Amino acid sequence: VTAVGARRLPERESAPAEALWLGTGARAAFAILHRTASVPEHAALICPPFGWGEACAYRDLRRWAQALARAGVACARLWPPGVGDAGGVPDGDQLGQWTAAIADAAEWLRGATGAERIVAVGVGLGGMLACQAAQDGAAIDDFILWGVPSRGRTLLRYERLHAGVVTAVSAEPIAVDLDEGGLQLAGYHLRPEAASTLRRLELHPDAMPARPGRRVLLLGRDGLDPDAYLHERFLSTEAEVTVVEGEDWSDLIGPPQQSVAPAGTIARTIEWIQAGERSSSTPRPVARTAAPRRLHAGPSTLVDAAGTVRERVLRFSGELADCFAIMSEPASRPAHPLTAVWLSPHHVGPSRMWVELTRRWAARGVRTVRLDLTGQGESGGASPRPLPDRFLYAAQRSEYLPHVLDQLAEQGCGPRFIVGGYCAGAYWALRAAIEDPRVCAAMLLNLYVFSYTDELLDERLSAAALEDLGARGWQRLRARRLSPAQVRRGLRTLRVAHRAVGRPQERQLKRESARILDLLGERGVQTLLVLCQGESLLAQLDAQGPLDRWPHLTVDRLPTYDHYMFQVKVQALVHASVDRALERALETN
Amino acid sequence: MTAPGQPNDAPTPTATGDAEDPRPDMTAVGAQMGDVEQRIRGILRDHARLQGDAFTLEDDANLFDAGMSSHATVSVLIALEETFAVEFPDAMLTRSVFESVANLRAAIAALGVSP
Repeated sequence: VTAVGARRLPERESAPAEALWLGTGARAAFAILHRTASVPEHAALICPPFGWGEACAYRDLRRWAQALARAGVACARLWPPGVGDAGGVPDGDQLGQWTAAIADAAEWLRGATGAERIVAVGVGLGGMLACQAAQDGAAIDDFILWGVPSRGRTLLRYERLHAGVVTAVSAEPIAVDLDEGGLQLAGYHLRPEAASTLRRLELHPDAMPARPGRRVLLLGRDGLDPDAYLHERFLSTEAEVTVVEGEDWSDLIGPPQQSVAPAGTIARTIEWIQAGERSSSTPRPVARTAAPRRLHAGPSTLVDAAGTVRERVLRFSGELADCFAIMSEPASRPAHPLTAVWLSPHHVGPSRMWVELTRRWAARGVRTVRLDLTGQGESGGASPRPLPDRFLYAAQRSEYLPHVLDQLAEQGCGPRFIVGGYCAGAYWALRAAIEDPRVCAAMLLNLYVFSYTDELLDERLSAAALEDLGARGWQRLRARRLSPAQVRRGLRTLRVAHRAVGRPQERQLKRESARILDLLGERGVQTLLVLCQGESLLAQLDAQGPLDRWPHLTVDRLPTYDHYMFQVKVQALVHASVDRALERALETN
Repeated sequence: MTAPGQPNDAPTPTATGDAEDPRPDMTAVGAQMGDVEQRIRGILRDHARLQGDAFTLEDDANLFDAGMSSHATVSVLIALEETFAVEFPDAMLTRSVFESVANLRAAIAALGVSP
């Protein structure tokens, strides 16, 4: 249970969600459908924000959808072509494709759930495109719009500032502008044509074809009113318009480990939808209506224009029943006996890096699975917020990936596996490589450590805090810029740091790391480490002495301090690095 | 998705992130912007989600160190533009412009708002 103020949102789902593609090939959208126990009067289509905002809000939009379904409002979250797990790549007329996908999804959702009314729940760009789709004639009855400007240019300016602030934590400046008019916004590439179209986009709600009984809920963001033009233009129609504050915008859109479900707004939206229902009559029995014939919806499809890669949502059983994974596999050639598994806190990745990676490897002939850690991304399980590092590295996760490999083997994959991952995902991929003899190669991006303990984390945090205190603390104390609470925290840090003098955990780790690398070498596990500058493991490797005594080990250092790999050019380096490692693994297996 | 011990959205002391420093010349701004400054601090109080009191913050104190997040920065931008009826040009949509009360005051002045 996540507590937010006085409100609480349960973690559990009312019914298992269905992940499916709408359409096929490069135009396939992706949706996750949360059904209700009986035929709903309303179904909500959640249209998420763009880029980093979507990554930040992912888990909490999922909670929003679950809460709506529990309240009797069927709900689908939508990713249009070129976004998330949808088919295709981001190119050409992205915005036109996205708008068309929203219109198609609204029609599909009505048919799939039997709902009488479709309410678009749009955040940021998702809300703009839902409005545009309605202007173009999409069958959307009602709107809940949060943080939605009326002009694309305004949205781009907000995204530009946000990207500038986020990426400035990198020691290397990251230019927002790319060649030929494209933009890189906190690791997400908006292609030139899309940027140009978005810059020109202007919403005119009064130009929407009228729908009977239309209702609109406009949410402000953290004390700021909703867009004045949108408000005024909706008022000029026959729609019933409600404006509320939306005071928990920052909760939704904060960094992934800090964001929490906006419980107040979720509750308010449910109340608002229910207030629009005809009456609280006895629920009708479930009568699933077939989806429109022209739109194929299913848990498997081709995802590229050439028809070379097929994807399917994987089903696991037992303790992995909540685990979310997607398999990319070759559609037009036999699969290689090696299967790859990519594990990360979120299976899509910045600029959908992990989606591109798994599809590229599938086109190469290697079945590749991308999956979420438990409690992360789309996987079930508890996910405390803010999310402590200790949770991601908790020992009970150690059986997760070996169990995944077991079930993949039962489904005919393997018999040998490549495992890889990013950050905490890299750590659990490493543990699987150490413990599971079926693993022949490991690709580890920004791995934190070879062997995690809470004591090591405490020791490192103390050392970092001490360093920071030395650099800035005394100056701030002298300038009276430290609060009593900060002084107390500083003193507590000093006490812990005092105990950590000599860094005993680091000394022990050095021996353990060598033992692990020896073991991987003896087992012939090709191991790739890809590390940004400033990662703790780089300093540790430097302290290990010459690395050539481990010929199975390759270390690629990235020219950035940015752990998130926000730069498009850095993302390209990562893709090249793991592709080389894949070729090495294929040659030796 | 952070490495353990690494803050999610925290500044680094050496980072600016701006290819060029677009901050207006502080010397041209002057220190007599009492009303403007009060309104800026009011906006920071309402929208920046600072850990401390926006009205007692040092003029050059780093707002990101004081708790302002990337998304709160956008809220501050919106509020500043509405309050002062200005539009920040793209070149000023950078971390450094939003780093302190002094920089914001200078930016507002550079956009033609009189004290």
